[in-house]
Amino acid sequence: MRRIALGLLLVTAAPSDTTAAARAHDGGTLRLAVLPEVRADRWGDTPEGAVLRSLVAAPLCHLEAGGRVQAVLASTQRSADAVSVVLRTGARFPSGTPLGAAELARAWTRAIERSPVARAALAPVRDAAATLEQQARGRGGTLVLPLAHPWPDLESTLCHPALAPIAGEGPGGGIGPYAPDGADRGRAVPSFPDGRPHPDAFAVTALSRRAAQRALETRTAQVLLGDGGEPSAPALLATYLVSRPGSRPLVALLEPRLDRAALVRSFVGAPAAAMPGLLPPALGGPERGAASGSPGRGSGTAVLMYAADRPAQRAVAQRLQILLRDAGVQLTLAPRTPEALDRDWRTGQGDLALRSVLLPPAPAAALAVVLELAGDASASHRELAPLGALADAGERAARTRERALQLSATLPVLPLYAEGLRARLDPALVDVRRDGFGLWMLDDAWWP
Amino acid sequence: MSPGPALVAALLAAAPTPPPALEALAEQLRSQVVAAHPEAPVAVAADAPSVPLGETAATLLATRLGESGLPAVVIGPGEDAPARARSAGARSLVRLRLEVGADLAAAGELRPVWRNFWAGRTPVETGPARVLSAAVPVDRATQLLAAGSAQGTGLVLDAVPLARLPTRTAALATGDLDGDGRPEVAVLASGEVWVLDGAGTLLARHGLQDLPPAAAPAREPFGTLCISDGRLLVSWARAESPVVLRLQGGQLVRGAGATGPTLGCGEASEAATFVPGVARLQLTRGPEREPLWGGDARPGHRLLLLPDGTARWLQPGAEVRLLRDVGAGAALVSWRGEVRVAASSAAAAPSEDRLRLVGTGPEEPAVAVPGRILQVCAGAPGPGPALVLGVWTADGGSELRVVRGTP
Repeated sequence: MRRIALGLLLVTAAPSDTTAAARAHDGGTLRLAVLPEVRADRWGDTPEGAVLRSLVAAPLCHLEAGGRVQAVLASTQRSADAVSVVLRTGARFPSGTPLGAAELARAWTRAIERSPVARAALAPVRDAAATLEQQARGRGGTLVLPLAHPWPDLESTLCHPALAPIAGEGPGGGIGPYAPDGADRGRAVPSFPDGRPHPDAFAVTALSRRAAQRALETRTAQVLLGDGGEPSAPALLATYLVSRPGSRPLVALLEPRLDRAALVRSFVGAPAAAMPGLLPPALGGPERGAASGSPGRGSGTAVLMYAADRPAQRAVAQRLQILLRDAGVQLTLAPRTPEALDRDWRTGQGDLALRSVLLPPAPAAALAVVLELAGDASASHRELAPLGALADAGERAARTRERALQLSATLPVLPLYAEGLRARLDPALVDVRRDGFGLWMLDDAWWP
Repeated sequence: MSPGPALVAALLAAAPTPPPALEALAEQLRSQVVAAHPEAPVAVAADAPSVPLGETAATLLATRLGESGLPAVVIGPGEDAPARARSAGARSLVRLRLEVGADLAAAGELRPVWRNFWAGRTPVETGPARVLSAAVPVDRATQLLAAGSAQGTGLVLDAVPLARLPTRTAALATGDLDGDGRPEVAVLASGEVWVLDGAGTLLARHGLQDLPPAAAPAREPFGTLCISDGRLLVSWARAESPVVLRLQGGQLVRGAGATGPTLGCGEASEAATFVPGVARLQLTRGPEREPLWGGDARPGHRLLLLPDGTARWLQPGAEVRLLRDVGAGAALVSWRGEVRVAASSAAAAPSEDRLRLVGTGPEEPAVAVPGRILQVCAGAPGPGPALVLGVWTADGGSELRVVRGTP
């Protein structure tokens, strides 16, 4: 009996090909269950959408949680007054076209058309639009970005998912560790500069919340995007209410009636935090707002634009509508697609708009995004140049937080709340880490 | 007797103040032995929870007996102690067994080792045996000696890593690169080669990102490094071609004569190629052509690490030995004059790995190492037999850790 038991022990202790895994195990299909709103975020503006999109459209670099920049499609070199983006040989679009400086310049020209984060990231570049246009005609593998003022955070903000190089007008056509294979699948790209991912393919299924949770529990899915999350992870998807100069009195009526903590609790859901200051608490912004005056009353009508396929934005927009009705103001809700929201707001439509942006994890770079939402380019330059002149990161962050407190009274940007990545993972997945934006990096994922 | 415990014992015996408890115990035993008037010389054999404790106790007692005019020699404990005592020229034998608890206790016997000639072939020791026993309150130094014992022939992890790297290590090598006779540590990580001195200080860095990329690069950090004749041979699984580096004036300079990846380093090394797209090596010669996690080669020995978590150890004049539960971090090492396999475990992404030394004998000293051991390399800087480990940490970085043999 004992001999049999010993034999059994030896058999179970002897690793077989499927269990031994001192090195990563290759093969299989990475299965992702996503909620419908994650599927709808085709440009990857939300943390969940960005995680999903990064599988087929890698960012230029990975910004690690510790602040280190790890080259993916490009590395950077800094000279006295410029940053050169050196593209890695071997980075190719699915069409086979290599990623050159011209392709990157064209991709960024389109990105600054549609994304406030991209505009803010490239704001320190001298005549960004003209510079990109000029380099879009050139050849070679290096894109030179001359700086209008010192900006030490540029290298890390270039890792933002909004700046992932895309060929063409649509959200597809990026360079990722997987190449799209139909709408819901991707297959590993053997020539990806960082190596092919360990699974052979990925498959996405859009499910209801309950069905997605069950899929993760039964291990038919290994990644769930859109539900769950960790309160300790950085919450950097910041939502602001931006206003036209004529609508500032409406915001003054709204502010005393606004209970951000209740808003988060009832309409946004975890992981999220109330954001009383222009910078979210994750970046050292205040966690409590200053006491505001007694709620006044007004009259009139206004139009609030919001992103239709973001459930939290819709719920918050409806809540703001009720709060302003109590103040005597008739608020009309105008849903838009995320792309149309940015375009329409910039062409002067609407009086108020809800804007959600994934902030870079550096306070100065995050303030640049807030200033971009405020929409005054010259004011941005005035604010950011002195901050960029502070070479020490700690000093720059402290000064930025100070300026953010002072600016919150004057900017037409009312901070509301900040959300973190809503995602769950199968605990059996190995080598999945969070980056500096709080996003899961699924590139290295494998399972024994 | 291995040199380590002997050295400790000699040092302790020579020290002006041996552990007070051991000193007191030796004194009690000395008076009992002297009172029995044994025939000189006396052999002393002590069995203890640890080899160093046994050695030290025996050496102390032998020294004290010598001071009392009774010449004594130390022999190792064991069943055949009487025979060894006789062959050492002793006429009497003190056999002791030491135990360490609240007290340090010793019990045993003193007997002559003269053999009765008339007993013929049956080895019968004759003469009266005298029982010896002594106990004294234990002290910290003795406890330490007894505890060091559990690792008597074992491994110890240096408390502080030799270096921390922000990315994961792909390959590791030790050897003299600057010609000062002391080994440097070379690391391949994140497309860069780092050379560190024995204290972990960075001497030079060299980027490989400009090399033409491999058609199908490996995602896992992977490559081989070899320091040979003052040259550093670098093969990186994300680059199409290898390079040779020399350390000149504090800088790593590329030279000619690059060869591809190898199993092992130096004369016995075996040429290999990277398997496209995965962190695997394949030998270019010989019958073994399956993909490997890696391996090692030394004159007469070859170690092949198979992706099923087993290893094949080819030894001179012996059958191929199959080792189980061997991870990607494993190498052939010279350990106290014997070639052994230093092996990590094949567990899937453990938070704590285990490095063990597999030899010809049954005992396999082991040490726990936080993280995942992906590289093992002999010839770590510092005294005694030591290994450098490339250990992947959960934060996506890595550490170079040093494991030493206990003295």
